[in-house]
Amino acid sequence: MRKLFRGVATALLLVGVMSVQAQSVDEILAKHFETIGQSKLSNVQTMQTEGKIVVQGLEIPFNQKYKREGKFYMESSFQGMKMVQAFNGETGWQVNPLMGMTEPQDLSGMELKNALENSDIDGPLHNYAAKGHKVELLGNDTFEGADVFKIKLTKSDGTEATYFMDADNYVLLKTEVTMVVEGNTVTSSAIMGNYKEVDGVMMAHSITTSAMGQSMNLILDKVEFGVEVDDSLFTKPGK
Amino acid sequence: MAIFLPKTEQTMKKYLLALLLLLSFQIQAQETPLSTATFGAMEVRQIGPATMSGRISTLDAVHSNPNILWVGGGGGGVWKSENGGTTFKSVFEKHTQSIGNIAIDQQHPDTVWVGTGEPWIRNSVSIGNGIYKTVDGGENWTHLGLDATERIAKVIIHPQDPNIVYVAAMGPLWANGEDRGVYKTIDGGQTWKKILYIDQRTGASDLAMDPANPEILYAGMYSFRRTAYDFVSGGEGSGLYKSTDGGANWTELKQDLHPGMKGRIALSVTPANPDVVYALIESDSTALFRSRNKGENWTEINRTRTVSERPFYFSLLVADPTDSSRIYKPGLNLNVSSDGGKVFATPYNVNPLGGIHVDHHALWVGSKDNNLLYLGTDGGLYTSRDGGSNWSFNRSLPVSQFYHVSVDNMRPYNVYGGLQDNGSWMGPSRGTGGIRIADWKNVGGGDGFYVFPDPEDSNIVYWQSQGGNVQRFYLKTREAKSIKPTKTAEEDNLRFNWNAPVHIGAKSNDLYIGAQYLYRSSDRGDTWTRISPDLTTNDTTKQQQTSSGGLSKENTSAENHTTLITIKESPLNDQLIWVGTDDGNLQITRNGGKSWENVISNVPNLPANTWVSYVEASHSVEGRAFATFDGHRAGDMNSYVYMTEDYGKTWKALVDENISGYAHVIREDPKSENLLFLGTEFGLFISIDTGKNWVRFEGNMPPVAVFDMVIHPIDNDLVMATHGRGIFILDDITALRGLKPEVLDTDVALLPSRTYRIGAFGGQQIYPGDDEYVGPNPTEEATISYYLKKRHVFGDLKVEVLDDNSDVIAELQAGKSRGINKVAWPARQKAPRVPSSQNTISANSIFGPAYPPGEYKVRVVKGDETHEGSILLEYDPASPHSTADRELQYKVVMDAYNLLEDLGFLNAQLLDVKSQTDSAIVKTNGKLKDDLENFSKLMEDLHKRLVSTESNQFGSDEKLREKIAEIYGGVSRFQGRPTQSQIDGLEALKVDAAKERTKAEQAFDQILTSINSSLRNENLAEIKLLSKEEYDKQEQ
Repeated sequence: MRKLFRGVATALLLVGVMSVQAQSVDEILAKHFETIGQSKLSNVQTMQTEGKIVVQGLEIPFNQKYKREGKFYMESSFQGMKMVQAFNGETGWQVNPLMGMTEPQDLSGMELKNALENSDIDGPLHNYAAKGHKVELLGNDTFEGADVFKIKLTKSDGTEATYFMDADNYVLLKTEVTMVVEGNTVTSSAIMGNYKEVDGVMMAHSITTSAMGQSMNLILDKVEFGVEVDDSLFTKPGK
Repeated sequence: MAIFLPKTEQTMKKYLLALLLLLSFQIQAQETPLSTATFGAMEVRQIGPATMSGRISTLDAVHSNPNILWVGGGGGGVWKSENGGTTFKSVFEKHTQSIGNIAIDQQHPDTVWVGTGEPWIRNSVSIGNGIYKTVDGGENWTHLGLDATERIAKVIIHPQDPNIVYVAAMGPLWANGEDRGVYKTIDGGQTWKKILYIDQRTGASDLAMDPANPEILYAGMYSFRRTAYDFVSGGEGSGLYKSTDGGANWTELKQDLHPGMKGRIALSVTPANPDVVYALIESDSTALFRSRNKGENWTEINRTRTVSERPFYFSLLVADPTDSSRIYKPGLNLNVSSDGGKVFATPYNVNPLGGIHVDHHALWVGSKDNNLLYLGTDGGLYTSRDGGSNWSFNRSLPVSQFYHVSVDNMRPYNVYGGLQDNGSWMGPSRGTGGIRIADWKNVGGGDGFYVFPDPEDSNIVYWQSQGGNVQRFYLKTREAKSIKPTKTAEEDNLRFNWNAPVHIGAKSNDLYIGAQYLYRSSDRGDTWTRISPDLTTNDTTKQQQTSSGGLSKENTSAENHTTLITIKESPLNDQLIWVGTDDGNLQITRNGGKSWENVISNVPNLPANTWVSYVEASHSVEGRAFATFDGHRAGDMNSYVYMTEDYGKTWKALVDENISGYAHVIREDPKSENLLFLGTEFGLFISIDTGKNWVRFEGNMPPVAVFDMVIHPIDNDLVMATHGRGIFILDDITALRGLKPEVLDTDVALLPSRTYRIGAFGGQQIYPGDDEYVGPNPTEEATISYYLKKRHVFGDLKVEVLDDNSDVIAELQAGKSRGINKVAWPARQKAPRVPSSQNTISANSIFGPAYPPGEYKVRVVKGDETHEGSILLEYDPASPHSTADRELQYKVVMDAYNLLEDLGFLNAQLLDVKSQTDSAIVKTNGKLKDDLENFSKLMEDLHKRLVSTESNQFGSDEKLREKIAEIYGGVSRFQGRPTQSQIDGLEALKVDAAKERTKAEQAFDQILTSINSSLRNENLAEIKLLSKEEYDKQEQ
């Protein structure tokens, strides 16, 4: 009898904890989207960012263009050589003479998955349920000395992401994405900072990305909304 | 200073008000206390080595997929491989590193139980804190109690119900205690019930389950005890027990077994025939017994040395999972019997050029393929795929157990240290592309302890094996000279500790060694002068090492006692020497040993005879010293840290609640007296206020035992000897020196940075595979350090470097952590803007030239706030290059740089004009169109003379850019004088470049002028020549 009572009590406690958590993850996300000005961002149809990648003392300028739904174009140059990556919402292509690709080639594997990840202006947390993703609050933690909520997102394709959200300011400080590519589990991360308001939307202007033991710093000099972006930009040349 | 005494009520009120203000100020000043977060982005570098690896206490693998392999270290934590041991990942970084037993739930391999606290109870064994479980393959762990069991020998998961788990807890080694015996959970570890308990000295050393009937359990109960000076294996409580009801009731099995006192018991039930049970039982005639009827009757089948050696260290039996007559006995060597235990032999031939480490504690045999063996030894993990005939050594487990560490002043500096059962070693603090196995050099054998480079002769290293066997070793010839002191006719036998203290005086460079006396030598150990009487208690009741061992006597020097254990000559006065003894004397001489004073009675609140683990003489105040004490061998797990300011007359305790673990070592920063580092059994702790407050350092630092530390005098690195995870280096503690308590309350503070040495780091072409642990190198870049009170989130935060003209020469991505941030600056100029090609890059000119030495201004910009400091760049004083040669090198590099930049601009003009020309072509026809087409072609031809345009994965054509860049790259990679060929070659290329420029300028002047005239006539836009200003504005 005592055992039964304890079992019931434990179960009740668990249900209680779970419902508190289920409630609070959406509460946290609501505060987050309010903080970053998601209502304004949702109205943004196109976006352009300019900046530089800083790695080992090298500066590689880049320019990114986004267009709904899920279209993405990035151009960067090294020693004046142009590199392009584009994604039209379904398929992507790239020109990367550094890797011997002087003619446009289709994206595949991890690059395609990454392009898919990058192309969503809102990011997968926004309307996660409608997008078929699951979200779970893993709990409280600290990141770089700041108190954070750890939020786990699981996509229908199995890709998992963990978000470290500043518990005082409700902006993302870090994202970790784990995906399986050709049998290998690959984890990449992005650390965000230098948030600045752009037309009512809070945007990180400093991002450090890491994958497979390599990391690089992205500094955004300029973010613009509503720029003219022609759909032809995303189409693979020669098609 | 005058003391203000209030006289009237009025002044009294003012006084109180002032006091209140002062008080509130103090409260405010402590608003941001030192915390683990203060250290921000600072992280230790775990440099290994995995060269000799370290003691593996347990391992387990997944039977359906033996590529999934889990390994536990005696002090090295838990490591997981998913590829049969090619690579390992440390998965237990936040928890105690002493591992007792690992059990994989074979039905759900992501569920793994880890019982902590090593069961191989040698003198240097650590302690655990209970049991942990993961259900996600090691990503997350839950601590599930049994905290006080101290060591867990076995965990068994019920094969049908994974919520039922049995634990054999040995319990405390150094004290009585009731947290031992066999435990059972039926709810996945939420609650535990002790189901077999004998007495306060007796724990469970092994547990076995009948795979055919999980209700049948066998338990080996073991009475044991260690002190600092004795070990007793066996006692009245030892015995073999059986339960047939899942542990509810137990019966001691005595039938057919030796009637006398028993010791440690190892068990194995044959999976292929569970009726057959083996028991290896320590007694005055230790023997292997076999039962053919589930323990009802037993037959003694073997009492050879193979089965009877060192039961406390080797009590392990592993029955083959498929061959019912095959049983393994790991021990000094691995032995196997194929006739049910009657005859044992090693499965391997002794290979003089290869072979495996002795002292085996863990063995896993495959059930799908019983030729697959994983073996854990005192020297790491080995794998055999042919039933034990041949073995491969696993090179990716850096679980080495150092006792001590020292460094030299080479560039890069070397690290020296001795290890449990793995001799003495030296290795570099930086290697080419990382610190590799091949970079480490063995300099001595046995168990290794203190190892020192001679301060004056880089060919000499001092090392020792257990019991004070100190050697002077010559690196070039690998010859060793024994320099152990000998006793005179009048003296007692010398008593050296297992880990006898050897010391080199910081002030005198003299060599010291301690027995019960202190010896000093100024001729590298050829002549020793005894400079003390017996400094120990000389308590003869604690000198019984020859009778130590209980049922299995042994005298290995591990229980030697009443000996010296730590020596320190004051860095300020070579006549002031501190000595600590293992039996609790703390002695000081201020006259080079003429007289000694035992000051231990001045140390408050310290139990008598507590092991003096370390004495640190201050670098700044002669009368100041720090001492740590370690009572764990008497069952006292408290942290004891003290400080004196008056040569030991009075002592003050320097501990707070943040410190955990018995203390091994304390070091005072030689350059900042408020900065202290403390190593305990559970990690590294730091104080920035001379020991008033402490915090644990967690940056990439597991709670591993820190046995010794040294601060490098030039590189300012804190180098740690861990007993289980090898050498850790906290690079460049300069920033910590600037971290005064008052800094903690400022929002942003620039901290001092170490002088950056402009270096050449080299490379190598090797493809060693992935199965080697490679210790990471320190950064090759200059480091700028600053403190942030909070994690930066909103607005700009950047770090800028400025030159003499206050021009910003580098904008760096700023770290945003709360606490200390470290930002790397490559100290190189921007890469030259070379002539561009859409098909090729110039690999030789990817990087800009190094900035010359000097002081550079540094600026941290946070929103509107700016904080300024500086960083120094200097040439490495050890570099062989003269200043004149360096200056010539810089001139040639910059000549080549400027030439590349000139051509880059010319190339941009050509391409820009071509692009405008091509736009005009479509708007024209006739002769103008022909002229434009020819002109476009000319621009392209000239462009192709400047830069390679032919893309080919395996090399391309060589044009001016490639030729100049080859010289640029070649000269910039070597910091000394360029070759005459490089200098002459560059001059020739300048002439070639001038010719190209002349050709282009002629085309611009003559043809373009004519074309523009025609375009004007057609009312078309002229083709404009790109100006330098426009070019500079363009992004590269």
